[in-house]
Amino acid sequence: LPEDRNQPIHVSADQASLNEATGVSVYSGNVEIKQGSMILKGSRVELHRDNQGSIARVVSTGNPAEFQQQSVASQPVTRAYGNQMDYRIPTQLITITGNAQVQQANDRFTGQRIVYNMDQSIVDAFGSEQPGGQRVEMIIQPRSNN
Amino acid sequence: MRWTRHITLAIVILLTLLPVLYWGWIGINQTVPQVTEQDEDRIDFFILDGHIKRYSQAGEIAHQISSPLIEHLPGQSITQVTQPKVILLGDRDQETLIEADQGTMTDDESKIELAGNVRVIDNSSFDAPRELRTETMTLFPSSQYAETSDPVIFEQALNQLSAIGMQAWLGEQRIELLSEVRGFYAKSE
Repeated sequence: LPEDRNQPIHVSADQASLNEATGVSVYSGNVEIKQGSMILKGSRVELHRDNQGSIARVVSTGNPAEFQQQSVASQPVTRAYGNQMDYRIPTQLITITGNAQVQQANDRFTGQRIVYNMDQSIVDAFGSEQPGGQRVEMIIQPRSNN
Repeated sequence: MRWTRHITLAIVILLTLLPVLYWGWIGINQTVPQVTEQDEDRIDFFILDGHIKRYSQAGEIAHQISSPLIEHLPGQSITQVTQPKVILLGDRDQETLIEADQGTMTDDESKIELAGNVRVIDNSSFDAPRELRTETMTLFPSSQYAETSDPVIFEQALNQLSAIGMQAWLGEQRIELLSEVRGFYAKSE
């Protein structure tokens, strides 16, 4: 939801390594990050703090790492999966790399890399630059007319 | 006749003296416990309002310990420290303050077992100070390392983390939270 970014962040994990000198906290083992309606899950999650001490960036890796958020109250939940997710809170962009997949209701986008704009619910999908690599694939369900 | 009166008087005096002497002997034995060299709880010296400074090889103060009451127990080769305040000094003027209700320090000051309202306060951060709280903690001052298996709470401004068990390299500002980690990061204004 639009106000998600102003919500506190709740974290739960099995272990954590806090490095105050670098401002990076690494959580590992069943990690779950919640901020409003947004949920990020992974086996390893880094929280990067900015100079003011606020969380500015979240990098999650997993098999797969998961993300979900309700971008608009009237819209269904958006879900994303991938080997790694890089969530930049100030710009509200989440970059999914490695078997990237985004689902909005019955629509589905896959590619090597997907950039999801949480503010505007825009999905930019990219294929692999390797010849014969993963291509972008989109499945958009027909809208019912009634 | 006079002899018998003297003898009677002597007997009476003797009879009254015996219990008094006996009681006196037992009394002495009780009020002053026999303290032997091996007595583990024997205190050979104590310091009121003590302040200990430990210097590094380079001649700089490495850490300081202050306490209203310091008691040395030679039988156990330890020093008991009441309400200890330990200040660890690091580079870049970094200072870590550690407080507790009670501390037990080895004679070589290499290890301090802290117990009761243990608090670790690090003021070196550019924003709010960081505070860590637990019930017991083992501190190794010279390596600025501490650990506990107890629940810990770690706070900075409105952010708070809790966990069970911790290892902390205080000089490097690095902490490992060992299990059941829960965190809350408030949105700063």
